Amino acid sequence: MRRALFSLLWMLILSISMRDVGYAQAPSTPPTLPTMKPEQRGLMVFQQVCSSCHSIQFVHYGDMSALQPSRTALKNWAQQHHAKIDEPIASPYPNVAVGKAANGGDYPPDLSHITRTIKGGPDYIRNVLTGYRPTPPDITLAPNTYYNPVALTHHHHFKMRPPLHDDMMSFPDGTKATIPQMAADVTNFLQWVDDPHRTTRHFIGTAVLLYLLVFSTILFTLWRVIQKEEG
Amino acid sequence: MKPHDQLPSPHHWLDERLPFLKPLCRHIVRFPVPPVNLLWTLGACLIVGFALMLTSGVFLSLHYDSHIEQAFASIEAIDRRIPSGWLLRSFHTGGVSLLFAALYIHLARGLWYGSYKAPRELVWLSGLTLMLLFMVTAFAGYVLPWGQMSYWGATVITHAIEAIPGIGRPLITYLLGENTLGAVALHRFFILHFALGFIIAAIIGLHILFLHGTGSSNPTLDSPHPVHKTRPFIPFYAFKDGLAVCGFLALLTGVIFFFPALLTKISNTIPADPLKTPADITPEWYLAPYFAILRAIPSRLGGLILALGSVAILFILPWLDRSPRHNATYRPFLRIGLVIFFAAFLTLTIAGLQRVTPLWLWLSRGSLAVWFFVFLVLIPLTAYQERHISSQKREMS
Amino acid sequence: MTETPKEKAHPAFDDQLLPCPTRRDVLTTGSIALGGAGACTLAVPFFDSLRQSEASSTLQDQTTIDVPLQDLSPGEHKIVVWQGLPVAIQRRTTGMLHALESPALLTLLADPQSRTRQQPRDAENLYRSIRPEYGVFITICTHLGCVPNYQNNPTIPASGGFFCPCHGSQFDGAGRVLRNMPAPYNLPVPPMHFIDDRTIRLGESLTSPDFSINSLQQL
Repeated sequence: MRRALFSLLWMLILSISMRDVGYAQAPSTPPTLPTMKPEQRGLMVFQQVCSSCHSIQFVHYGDMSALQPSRTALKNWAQQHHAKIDEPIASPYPNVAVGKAANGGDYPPDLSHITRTIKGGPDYIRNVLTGYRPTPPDITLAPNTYYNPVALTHHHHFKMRPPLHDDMMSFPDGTKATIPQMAADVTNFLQWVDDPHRTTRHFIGTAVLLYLLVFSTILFTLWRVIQKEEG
Repeated sequence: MKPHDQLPSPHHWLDERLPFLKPLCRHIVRFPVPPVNLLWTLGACLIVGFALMLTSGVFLSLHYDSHIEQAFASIEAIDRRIPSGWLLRSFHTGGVSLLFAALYIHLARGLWYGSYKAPRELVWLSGLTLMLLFMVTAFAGYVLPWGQMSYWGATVITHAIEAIPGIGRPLITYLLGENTLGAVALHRFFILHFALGFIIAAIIGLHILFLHGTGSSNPTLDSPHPVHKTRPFIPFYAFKDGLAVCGFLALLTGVIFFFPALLTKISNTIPADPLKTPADITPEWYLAPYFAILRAIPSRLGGLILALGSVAILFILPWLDRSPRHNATYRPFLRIGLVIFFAAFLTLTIAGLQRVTPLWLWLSRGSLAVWFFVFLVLIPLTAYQERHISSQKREMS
Repeated sequence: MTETPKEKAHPAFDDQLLPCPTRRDVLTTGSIALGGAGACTLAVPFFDSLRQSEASSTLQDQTTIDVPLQDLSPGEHKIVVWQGLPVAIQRRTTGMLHALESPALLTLLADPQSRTRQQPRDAENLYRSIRPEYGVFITICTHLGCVPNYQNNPTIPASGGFFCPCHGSQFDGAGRVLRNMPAPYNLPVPPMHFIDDRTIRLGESLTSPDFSINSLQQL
């Protein structure tokens, strides 16, 4: 009985830790191309698209070294934004007023914790990015707004220009840059930005639980032995 | 060469200089523990949990910056780029919830088994003091990240204290060091939080000292078959405590490594904005009951008095309950009373986490009434009746 | 004594010498060892958090600065900051150069030939500089890290010189320490080269490109 319970716990713990591995795996690619995690492709999308309006002000350029191992590449990226590698990924706009003026009156929000703070979470972000549709003839849009049925659940006027276009970039791992692909990748990236230690956290947690299991088993046995010996 | 027995042994060396060491060790090893149940292991869990909080707190304070402009960013830096910083911070932010859960159950155990009664009043009073200090420390600590929830939580509490007639406003200005919650106040909260950690450690020492003066209470005392046999603390109860600590740590691990979102408020990942109150403003669950009391009373001052009074009556409990019996299991009225009180406490906790609706408002008012009724009416009456019965028995025999 | 030699066990198998541990002993030792190991592992993240984070380590990257020299007339000196270190640049007079060569001074010095690696290769000469006219030193005393002042000692030939206020180490105008001083080594010379006659670049040596502040014997 106890044995069955233990094996059940093992399976539970393993399944939790395996889920992470699956989460980190990239789709299968030809062997000659480098493999990339979704977050890594998402970083590319952020660098080439999102960062022209949005900041990730609590993340430094250097913090991306987990996704982009080349320090030189990160340095160059920082330099393009007139920043050093140990400085925050700041908004491209000098202040809020300029940012609002450039985006039809709405300031592009900071993305440091966007997947956690936005209503609907990562699913909402992914759906918004793929949710742009041609404006139906019976609707007249206000100036500087775009028709996106998903975003309209949150906003009366949605002022983010459609950011993604098919094949607007090429991923080194050969993944085709379709809008759904880029949307999924950049959402993965934003989830990583919100919670960069997720994988490590689950790994350490599993190890600690296993340790505690072994340790408490020994303590329990010992406690029973003492109980028996001392009556 | 000297004969073997003339060599100074390290034991002997210490004993000469610290003559109380040996009796102390003997006392700890042989400390007689009555046949207590698993609920008595929570003390050990609390000590381990608090040690973890204190250590992680000291290490976190090395990276925290209490300047108002940098506070939030320094927390983000700890979570993102300080080596293992996220791990230490998750110990600290997750540990507090588990610590309070253990503390409340520890307290409930004391209520149920009459651990507050003579001769253990000092243990009870020092424990309640610890609870109050825990609440103040947790509150001060929650302000430190200077996120939305930090800022607005602190704002609400300072306004509650402001309700004290006459001195409220000047007192708050004096405590905050300025008219509004700002840079001076944040630094004070940081120092308060840091210093209280060590003050709590000292009072935990006193709490244990008081406990060792009288010994643990005995859960079998009022039962039809009381067991008076004690066992030495080491090894039997030490290993039992160790086992419970393992369980406590496993629970902590499960929460902080796999479900951290359970204990973190989304709004506190947004920097404090004095112009915008977050829609989901609620206190941390362990302060929710008192928050619910503050909210349930239409008058600010009344709410404050009742919130403080609800804790204050716990302090006089040893003198409210003068019954010769300890264990609520064998005290029919008290048993029902305590169960209702626990339910009321839970209701207040849940109510404090909900948006204000008439239903929750009336539920909290009802729970508050139960709280005061149980302690101020039910317990003294039961005690009176039980004293009466036992004196009759004594006369008969 | 009834034992026979035949029955006598090998000492290694003697139960009296090594009593067989009971189940309880094994479990007690095991749990204490495992608990200790766990506590030690728990200490790892705490000490790990004291480590310099990767982001701030980039500040240590070798950087260079260019210092113009036209504002220095002979006999003057100035202090610039390079990588957070004070660097003294002095323009020597002919009198100072003669003093640096004088045997009277050399006999007073602990390391007159600059044998200890406290300078790049191109400064291993009597003047401890690339061009004798300019002396460039990191003015951090090799004793305990105070900053020596520019100060001549009247008892030694006037080469210009540095005097450490903390424990009285005296250096000559080429940053060489005198004998029997608390400081064990000469003042360090930073890696540098002349871009043109009026500008030096600190942080980059042409003759020994690998030379950095980490190459110094003592900073």
